[in-house]
Amino acid sequence: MRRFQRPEIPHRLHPTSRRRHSARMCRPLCYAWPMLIEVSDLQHSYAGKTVLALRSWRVPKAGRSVIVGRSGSGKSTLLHALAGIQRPSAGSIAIDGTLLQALSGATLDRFRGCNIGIVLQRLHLIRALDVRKNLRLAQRLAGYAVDDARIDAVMAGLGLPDRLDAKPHELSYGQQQRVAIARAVINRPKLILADEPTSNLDDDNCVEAIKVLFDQAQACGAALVVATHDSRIRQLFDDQLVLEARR
Amino acid sequence: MNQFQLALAYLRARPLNTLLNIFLLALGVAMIVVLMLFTRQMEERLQRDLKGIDLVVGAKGSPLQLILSSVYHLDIPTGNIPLKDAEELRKHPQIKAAIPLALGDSYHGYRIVGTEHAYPDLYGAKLAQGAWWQAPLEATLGAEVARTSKLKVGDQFAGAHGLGSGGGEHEQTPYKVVGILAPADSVIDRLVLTGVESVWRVHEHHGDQAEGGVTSEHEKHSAQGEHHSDAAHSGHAGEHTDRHTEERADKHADKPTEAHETHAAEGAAAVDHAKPESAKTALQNADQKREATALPGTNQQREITALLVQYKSSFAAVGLPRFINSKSALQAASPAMESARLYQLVGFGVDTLRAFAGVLIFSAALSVFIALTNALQERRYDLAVLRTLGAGQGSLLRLILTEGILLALVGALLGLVLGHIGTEVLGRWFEATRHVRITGWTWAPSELWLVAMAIAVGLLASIVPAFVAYRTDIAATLAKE
Repeated sequence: MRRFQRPEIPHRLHPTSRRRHSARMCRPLCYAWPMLIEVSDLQHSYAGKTVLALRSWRVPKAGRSVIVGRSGSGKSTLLHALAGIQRPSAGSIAIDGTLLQALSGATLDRFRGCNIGIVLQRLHLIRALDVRKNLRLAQRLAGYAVDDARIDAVMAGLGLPDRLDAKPHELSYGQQQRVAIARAVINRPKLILADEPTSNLDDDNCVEAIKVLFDQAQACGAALVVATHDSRIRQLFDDQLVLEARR
Repeated sequence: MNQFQLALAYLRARPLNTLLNIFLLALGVAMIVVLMLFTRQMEERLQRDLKGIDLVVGAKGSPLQLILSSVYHLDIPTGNIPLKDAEELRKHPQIKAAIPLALGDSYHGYRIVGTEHAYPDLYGAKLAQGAWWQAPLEATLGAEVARTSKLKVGDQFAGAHGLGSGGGEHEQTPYKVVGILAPADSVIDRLVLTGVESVWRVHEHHGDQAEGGVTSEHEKHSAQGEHHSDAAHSGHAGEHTDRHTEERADKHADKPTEAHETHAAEGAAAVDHAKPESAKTALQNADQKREATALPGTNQQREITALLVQYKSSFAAVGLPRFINSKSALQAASPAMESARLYQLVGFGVDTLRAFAGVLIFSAALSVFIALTNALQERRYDLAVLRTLGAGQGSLLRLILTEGILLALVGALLGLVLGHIGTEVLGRWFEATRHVRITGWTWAPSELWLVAMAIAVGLLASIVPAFVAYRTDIAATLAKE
């Protein structure tokens, strides 16, 4: 398997590689701390059952982290909580120093649009719109002006400069995945979240997809967090967060 | 790519569904527009035809029939009234003016009306060509009559009994066209106007020719519903007939004899008629002229069909109709009241159609609701994705509402267009068959309310789906992937 070049991260700020994180690593949020994600005493329950419990976890700016675990271990719940689309039952999540719980609905939506790019497992491009309009929509919903030059540049970087007028159903799955990545990075987010980006791909395409994600994250200086149960990509990340399945 | 464009894109992504919803709504709106334009124009037309007429006096019978026959010229008269009774009534102190009408014949379905010049004045009619009728058997044609019959000034034509194209032709006593009216957009457009004495003359002559056939002819008239004066059918030659010879027109123009004083006076009045006069002053002028132009032939046996009356004051409405109705041979009918009855009768059918259109619009609303709800199911992941991209709950609410309103707006606008086209098409058919001109190229202010109502329907139909979208739990939706 190919190895990818990791971003330059100062050693002293580098998270504890291949180790479980603990609550002791969390610092007060008011510090000028180069951590992009700081999770503390996070817990989420559903129907009286705890589906996620995480004492402490940090991801530095421009870091690469993978969340692994079996089905039901809370990978997606954690990813949704990081994106601010799931309010955890307890604990705190700070993204670039901003405590998500402190944000009201509309502010949180806007914060998410501006700072977080999400690549979903089933991609979910808007079928009614062509590629360019999908990307324009992402810009508008985040509150930015439409920037066609940026769209052209991102799509060129992804090797799809000539598919801007195509509707999603006219693209192959691989092309759709690139467009989904383009949509996630179009607003130069600080954090890119990807949920099972390689689960439907063969080995070659799996490597290609991760390479694209790494490249795009690097291009916009964003941290990348991938939730997966795909063992093929675990070793590509310096930082792994292993979640245990809960019964 | 704003919310409107996104809503539009979603609607365009489901073309069949969208078109069906739009068409259903458009159908309901179009139906209401057609009804609205038809009833409005018909009411305006009926009101215009009633202008300046406070009371119609005719023979006993159905008052509605009397109004329909004497004001709108749509029905057969209830019968005739003695001329002497009409003359007496004209002298009533509460009557400001009265115009006699002698009906009975028609030309190509257009009624020939024996009357005075005050009658066209009532509708503000103006001459387009030629002159007003002066002598007996001279006729001035309404604009529509001239257009469809292609008669020109100087042409001759013979009337037929009744209102249909059939009946006995009065070929022995043809009318001569002396003038053609400009379109007045009222009942007068489809009338052939002549003097009362012309109607008498035609039937006197007809009576002479028929001799013993008077009774059978009268029966034919009765069968057609037209009631002519018995005197007219009896073939008597009164002084009126003596006063007029075949070359009456020339003599009349050059040197009016004593016998032609009446027409000379009317001729003078004709100059006035060429000038625009309001309907209100028309009856007053008629009253002033009454002394000089008393109904020709005050023979005891002569009859007319109806008298159009204008009150001197509104107090007359209290006692005058009762006074007239108490006279055994006469009946007074109020056009306003009978028109209201007519609206009521016609209104039932209109209300039924309106209710049907309402059901169509309700169906359209239901269809929009179902379409949006189904679309919501199909697009639940899309909505979740929009939230992940930064769209707030309010944005999703507005997106669905925009879709519903867009559907309703396009449906309403299409309905307006279809309604106007439909009215025009129906109006042309109506004009050809009923001689009533209805156009689709007119605008009713209430159509704006119709658009507003359609938008409200779209809004109502999309409120529930929009609220569901608003409440979408994105985490739960995405977790179901």
